[in-house]
Amino acid sequence: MEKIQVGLAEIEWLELDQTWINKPMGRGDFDIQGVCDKFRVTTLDGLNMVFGIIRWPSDKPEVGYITHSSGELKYERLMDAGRLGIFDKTNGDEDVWSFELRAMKFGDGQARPTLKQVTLNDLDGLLEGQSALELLNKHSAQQVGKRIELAPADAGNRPNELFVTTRARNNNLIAVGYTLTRVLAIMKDFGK
Amino acid sequence: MPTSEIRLITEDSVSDVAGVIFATSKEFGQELGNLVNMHFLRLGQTSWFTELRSRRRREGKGDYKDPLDIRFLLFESSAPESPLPSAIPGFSDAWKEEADLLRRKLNSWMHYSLDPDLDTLEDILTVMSTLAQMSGLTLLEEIAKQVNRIHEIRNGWKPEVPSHQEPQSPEVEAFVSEVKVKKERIFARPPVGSVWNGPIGSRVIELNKNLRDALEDGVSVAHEMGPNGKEKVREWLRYFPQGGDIRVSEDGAVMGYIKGVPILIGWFGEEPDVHPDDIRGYYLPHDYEFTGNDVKDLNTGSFLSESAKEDTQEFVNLLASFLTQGQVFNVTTYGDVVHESEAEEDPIKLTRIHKDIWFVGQLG
Repeated sequence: MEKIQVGLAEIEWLELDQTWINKPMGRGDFDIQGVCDKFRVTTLDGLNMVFGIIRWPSDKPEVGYITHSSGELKYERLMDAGRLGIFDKTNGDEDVWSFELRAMKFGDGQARPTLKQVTLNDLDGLLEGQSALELLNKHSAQQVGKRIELAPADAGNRPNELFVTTRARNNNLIAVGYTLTRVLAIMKDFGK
Repeated sequence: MPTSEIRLITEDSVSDVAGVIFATSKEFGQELGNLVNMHFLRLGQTSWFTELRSRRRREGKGDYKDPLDIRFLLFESSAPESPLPSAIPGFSDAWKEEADLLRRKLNSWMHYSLDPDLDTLEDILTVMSTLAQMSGLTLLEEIAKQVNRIHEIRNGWKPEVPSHQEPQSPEVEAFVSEVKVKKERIFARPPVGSVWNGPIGSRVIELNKNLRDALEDGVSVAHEMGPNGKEKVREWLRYFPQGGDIRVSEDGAVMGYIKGVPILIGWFGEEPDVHPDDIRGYYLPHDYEFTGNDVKDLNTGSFLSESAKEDTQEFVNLLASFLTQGQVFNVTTYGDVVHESEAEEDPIKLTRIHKDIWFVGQLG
């Protein structure tokens, strides 16, 4: 499969449909078995980190850290932070995946970045002149906007979050969104 | 009995342990055999041994040339319709049971299946002592002295002058050299789960517990071990459950550091140079009884179904195809399941098991 360029990072697909045994996001009870599609992200500054898009039998899909071979210490933040949850909905005949675009960002006086609300403008700043919206559209985003506008029925307690919808299992877009808001945000020390 | 000539054990060495076991077995056979012989002579049965020998031959049983051979005496004492029990002083069901136990232990010993250490020696002497007591043998006193010395050695006793190695009998010499070969083999290829003594492998891979997979630069290497590669990796995780960096040596030994010590956690593919029928290692110091639908640890009384971490049904089914209810078997430090039947001269390996379908804490 062709590699995907996202700013100064590159995504490469590894093995798909691999066994993954862990606790689903936000569920601390016990390990269960899911399936994961692995992708590698490499960067100019030497990162070589592998993530996975994980599908669970009855919990929502997510993106998380798997392993890494090299990289600056700051990226290790992604070993235990920055998991991305995916909402899966059936819309008529179509299965739709959607997710919030929140990015790893330093707050005032914070020693470590955490996920925070961002704008498309913020994301443009991580992309070496590339447009975040164009990048998302190129990888088949269906809608990009505020969560309250795209999912009025369940906007939760973060209605103003930047939100993206796409067809289910559009792995490329998920990996791009994750790399942009996690890897590149950490690379650029976003918020500092 | 020449109790004045007995050589008390002076150190916890293979040579001393083997020396005492061989010598005491011999004395046991001589004293008991002479009593048995006298009994028959008193009855005027001078050819009892010749008759028994031909009967054994007719029944296809092993031949013994010496009526004072302990193995012959133990075998015959539990053979149905044998005249021997009537000639054994103090014979009873309990005697027969202990004799059977001693026969199995000596057989295991002769097949190098028992760790040649003080524990094994004491274990064998204890059974001999029970029999000696029931039959009123003078050997009892000598055994008591040996057992006492074993306790002294454990408590730090040392000979005042370093004992010069007295020459052992050829029987003991041969045994000791065979044990040495076995020990070297175990050192070079220890059971999975023990300290790895070989060269540390240069290939570093990652055992990822969430993926149940082994990775090199993030990509699975399980396929290098063939279609069952991922099952192999899952076996490694039994011994290295947290996962992390592991090393593969040139001959395929896979090791990981646990608390700073290199532990053999498995093999990359099949372990080289191992014949599937080989019985390796020493028996765990327990006897196990097949109950028909479970396994009972005769030393602790606990049942496998209540102790094992994983489901044991498949293993129990397999046992049922080899053993009948009430039969006793052993398991080696390598997980080889071994049955010593009376019909076969050599112990038979039934299967090999891993630690999680066995009594917790006994294997690996």
